[in-house]
Amino acid sequence: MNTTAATHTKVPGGVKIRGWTVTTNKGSILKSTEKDEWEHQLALNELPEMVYGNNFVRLTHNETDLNIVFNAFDALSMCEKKADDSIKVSSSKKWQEINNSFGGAIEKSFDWTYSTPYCGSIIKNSQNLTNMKSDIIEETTEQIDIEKLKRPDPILFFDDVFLFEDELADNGTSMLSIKIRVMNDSVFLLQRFFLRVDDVIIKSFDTRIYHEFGQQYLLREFMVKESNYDIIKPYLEKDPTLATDVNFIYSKLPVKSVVTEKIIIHK
Amino acid sequence: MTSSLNLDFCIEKLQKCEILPENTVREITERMKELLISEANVQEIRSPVTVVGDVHGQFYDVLEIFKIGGKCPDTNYLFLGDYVDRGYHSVETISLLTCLKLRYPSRITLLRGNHESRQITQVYGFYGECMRKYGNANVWKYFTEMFDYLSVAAIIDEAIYCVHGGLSPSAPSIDQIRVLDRFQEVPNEGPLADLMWSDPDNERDGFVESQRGAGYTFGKDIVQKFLHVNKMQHILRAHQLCMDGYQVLFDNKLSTIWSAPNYSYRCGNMASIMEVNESLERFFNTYAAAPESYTSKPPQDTNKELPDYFM
Repeated sequence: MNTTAATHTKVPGGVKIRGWTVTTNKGSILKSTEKDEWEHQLALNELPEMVYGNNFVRLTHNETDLNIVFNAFDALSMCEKKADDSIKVSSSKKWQEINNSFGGAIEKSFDWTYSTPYCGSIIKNSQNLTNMKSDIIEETTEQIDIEKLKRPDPILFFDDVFLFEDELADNGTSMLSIKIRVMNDSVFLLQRFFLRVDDVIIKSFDTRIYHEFGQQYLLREFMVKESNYDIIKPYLEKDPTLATDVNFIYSKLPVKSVVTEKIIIHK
Repeated sequence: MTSSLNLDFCIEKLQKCEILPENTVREITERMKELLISEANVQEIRSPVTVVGDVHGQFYDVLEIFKIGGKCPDTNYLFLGDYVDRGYHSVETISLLTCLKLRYPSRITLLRGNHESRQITQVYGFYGECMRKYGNANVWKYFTEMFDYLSVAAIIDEAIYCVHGGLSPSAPSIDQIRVLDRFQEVPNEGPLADLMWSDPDNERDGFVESQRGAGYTFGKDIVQKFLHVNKMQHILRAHQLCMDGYQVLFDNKLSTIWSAPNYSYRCGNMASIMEVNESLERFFNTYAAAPESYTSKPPQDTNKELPDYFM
């Protein structure tokens, strides 16, 4: 085992390590004029209340200019243009009964839960390959090595970056956030989309990216978890504050699907 | 019993961000209920007055408001609700505002926001904070009972209509709001709910139902009609986060005031309070988060943070 000294250098907003540059940016939420522009560009009725439009996490493989980037704009561009009408807030039924007599208009359908299946943007030589069939991505049976990630290796760089957040008009939460850590031998990233509609549904979409430096690929795992509210109701009756404890709720959610892919570096 | 309550002492203590004993909270909330029961649903107030939007338990930013806007009672204040939840110091915030109201009842008006509710505070922080700080739910019960007594709207000099959220299709005239039975938990539907929940929309006319299945937005035509029918000039409301701390819509007929800077301790937004002078001119006074707001995070509040070795 070589000495681990001087494998990495700090750069503004991140770290350079073994052929990679890992950077993050954290800023304020969008202004209302910027929000209006995004709404038009994304054809969304309404953006999440808090959009961290300048935040990002970027992994760059310096030699090949392969970039894996996470940002709010690309994430929101993948929201469905129509709402899933099976999901309404818990007060909806009674609300509708009382308000039917007004016969008012109903807002144009859009995914107000912002359930984006976004798992990062892949950019190579300034070309966005995210939605293209490319030979960069292939399915694999290989799994992210959890045991290695459990090792308490020194963390050379860590960040926690929000991309968007909405309180669903106090009917729950929808949020997209990222955690990243860089160790001597690997980089690991978790992006979590988390949705809680109070008394209705809980969902999470996790994207994990893992790369052992020196290997010719990164692993990307996309995991969907989902349940109706019954799964946490008994706990909330004892302690209502658990409703906002994402880690607690997450630990109770059953896995619905997992797909693991390789992102190939040298091609 | 009444004689044992020293409001000046309580205010001094609270300004140091120290909580009051449980029995003192019971006493101030009881006295507050007696005071509020005689206030109207729609409070008539006089200019000059400084209007404050959502503060959400960001206690140090509330202290900043009194530095910027002037001390109570030197300045008259109208608060538009949402005192609790989200921030780390809901208990201190609502305790301080309650004591100030008791001490200077004609100088400060507190309206009810949608967070001044049992249902909402159980999920969004106030209940949990009371449990942590007092070890039981009594203080939460005292305050949420008091919330049922808060007024729901105010009018400045018969000209500026002030409310937490917005307008309701079932209460197009202010007279209808005056006769609502407000002494109850905030309902999920109906006019009281709409006043505290609805939002303006500058792109869609009329009342438009949300895709969520509950809640309205209201357009420019609704605002014009409301102002005309009720002979008002302007609507002041809060309820919606804005990066600049305020937003003016509908040809300067409606203003949103947001008074929680760096909301959730990470949004990086500005906040504002609005001064309304004797000529009914309106000025936004904007401010950023107080330095203490960044460092006041209590150690208990780690539920959102995984350890560095996240998986």
